[in-house]
Amino acid sequence: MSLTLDTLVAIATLILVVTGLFLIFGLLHVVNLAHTGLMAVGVYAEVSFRGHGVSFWPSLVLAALVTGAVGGVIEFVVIRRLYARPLDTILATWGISLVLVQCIVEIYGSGQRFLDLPTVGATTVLGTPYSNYRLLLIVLGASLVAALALIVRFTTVGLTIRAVMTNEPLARSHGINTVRVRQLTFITGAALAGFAGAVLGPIQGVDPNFGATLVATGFLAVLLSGRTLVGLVLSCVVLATTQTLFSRYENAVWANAVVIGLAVVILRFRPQGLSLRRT
Amino acid sequence: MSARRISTGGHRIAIAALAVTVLGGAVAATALARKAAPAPYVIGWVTGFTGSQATNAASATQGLQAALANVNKNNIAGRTIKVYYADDAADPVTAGNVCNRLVNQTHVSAILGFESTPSTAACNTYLTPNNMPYVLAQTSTSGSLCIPNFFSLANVGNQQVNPLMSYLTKNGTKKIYVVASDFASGHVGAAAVAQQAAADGATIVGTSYEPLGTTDFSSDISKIAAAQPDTVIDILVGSDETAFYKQFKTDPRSNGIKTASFLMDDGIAAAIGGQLLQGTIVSTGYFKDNQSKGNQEFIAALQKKYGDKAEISGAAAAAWDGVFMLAHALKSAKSTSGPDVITSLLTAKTSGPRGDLAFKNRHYVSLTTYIVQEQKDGTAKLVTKAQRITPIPANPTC
Repeated sequence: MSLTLDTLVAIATLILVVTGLFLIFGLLHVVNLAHTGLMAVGVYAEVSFRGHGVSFWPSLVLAALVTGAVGGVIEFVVIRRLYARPLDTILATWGISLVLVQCIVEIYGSGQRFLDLPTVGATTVLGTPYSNYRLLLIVLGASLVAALALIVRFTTVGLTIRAVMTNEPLARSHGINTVRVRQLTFITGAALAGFAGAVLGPIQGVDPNFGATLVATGFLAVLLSGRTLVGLVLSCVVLATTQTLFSRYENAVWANAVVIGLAVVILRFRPQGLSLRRT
Repeated sequence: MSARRISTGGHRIAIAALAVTVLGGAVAATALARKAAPAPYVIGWVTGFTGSQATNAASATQGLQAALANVNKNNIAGRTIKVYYADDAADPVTAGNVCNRLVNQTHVSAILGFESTPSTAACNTYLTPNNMPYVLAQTSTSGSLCIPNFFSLANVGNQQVNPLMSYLTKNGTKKIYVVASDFASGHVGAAAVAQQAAADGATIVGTSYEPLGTTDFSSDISKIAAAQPDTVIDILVGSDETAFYKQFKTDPRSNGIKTASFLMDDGIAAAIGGQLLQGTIVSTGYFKDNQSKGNQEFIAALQKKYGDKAEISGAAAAAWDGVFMLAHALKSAKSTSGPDVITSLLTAKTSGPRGDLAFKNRHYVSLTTYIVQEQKDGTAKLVTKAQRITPIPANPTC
């Protein structure tokens, strides 16, 4: 049972990390290398809020809002001018990430920061005692996917997003303000990055380079997703399960290489990724 | 009228003579002063300001700058020490490039480094042929480098492992599990633990290596739970160590298993927090709750220079010791030539935040190891210490 729970935690963690990245790449075609910097903004915002006595749940929301606001500024100042040059956004977002990390160093210093767990207890799941916080990660990951699926499938916002993703010029000709959609998508993606940082901070080391290694697998998941939510969930399941099983039964050092190799093989034979959409 | 003119002219001559005298005196005084103050000793400070070591590098640089201010103010080296900064990005190729530049363009006389073993080796390819001293001001190192111009102020395996193992086995540990980062010090440390465990009658029931930057330790926790050791010794670095403790200590499978570390510094301990870390045994070359005079002076200097932003850590203490060791060697050498300073370093010693340090005709320093127990309130309590431990580097030719 513990192996199943460990795998579910790994899948949920990956989903939390990549959702913001997926939104921005899927809709804007922007490879957002500032994602790690935005996650760091989220976790440091949480450090500040909790340091000022704000409890865990409100601090998560506030961290997401702060990161969303930072994302709004980034979109307005830099990204908006580069939508026609997607390759240039790689360089621009990488630079933004460096700036964000340096700002954090200037404000908080370069050392690690203390961020305690809101709960250190355990719950027994089918006879296996398991850390409450790790169980919470599973719930949050599943809730995030469910919320996104509901929004995309059943709301006007979702319909607008699908329209812009499918054919932006056509959506624009139907009166959709695609500039606003892009702006809100970047802000939402940034807020989700901040939320992920704030959620994962309590079980990670918090330093200015927070999230750098988490996001490496995240980019692979986004590439495999085929720009669909189902594809994203499938790719997270495949990559996280492979990594967990390989680490458990073989060698953790090789697990990363195996995951990258697996992604390459999948893309070789399914260039559309793990999307179930017909091509 | 003419007498007045003559009188005025006399004044002018007198004023001119006075001016020449004063000016000449000033020039002479300046020349004498120049002769009295020897030229600064120029060194390079090489560390990873960017890359995976950036966190510790910033802290170490604070220690360096605080020490330089102290050394120059009190003329401890007999001359001013001037520093040039270089970023090796925690990458051996970059380290080689920046050291090449420091040696051949900036013309430094020595290098102080806070680097990994591969970066240190790459840097020394430019120093060794020129007989220029390199002082490694690190917290721990693998001890695999053995070159004549190289001096290390870092702990090597036996200096931290042996006192820790001795303490653990005397206090009931029979079965040990090792979790290490997959890098040179991790492998060397794990080998040293295995060797000493055999000598002390303990058994290694499992060893896991994790790549640097690991964020999920669930597979290790499962393996540890299956092996049921008395103590887990971690040889993880930086954020990896923090993540491991946060995940291991909150996992019910860890109940009853003790923890010990020999790479953990005060910064990491503070990031984990006393609540999770309490009871953990740490073998360290530096702990900030040390009440020694050398440590109190170091902390006061750092706080004076950086105020609230002072990062008191083992890295900063190592850099501080590095500056003082080089300054003492420089003063004894009475020369700035590379071979003279290298010879002087062989017998140099200093006393600072980490206690008494001396090379004693070796290239690795003999030092004190403190065995501390982490407390719930975040402080560290000294349980025992082993003084002036002779280093046994991993490279047997040293």
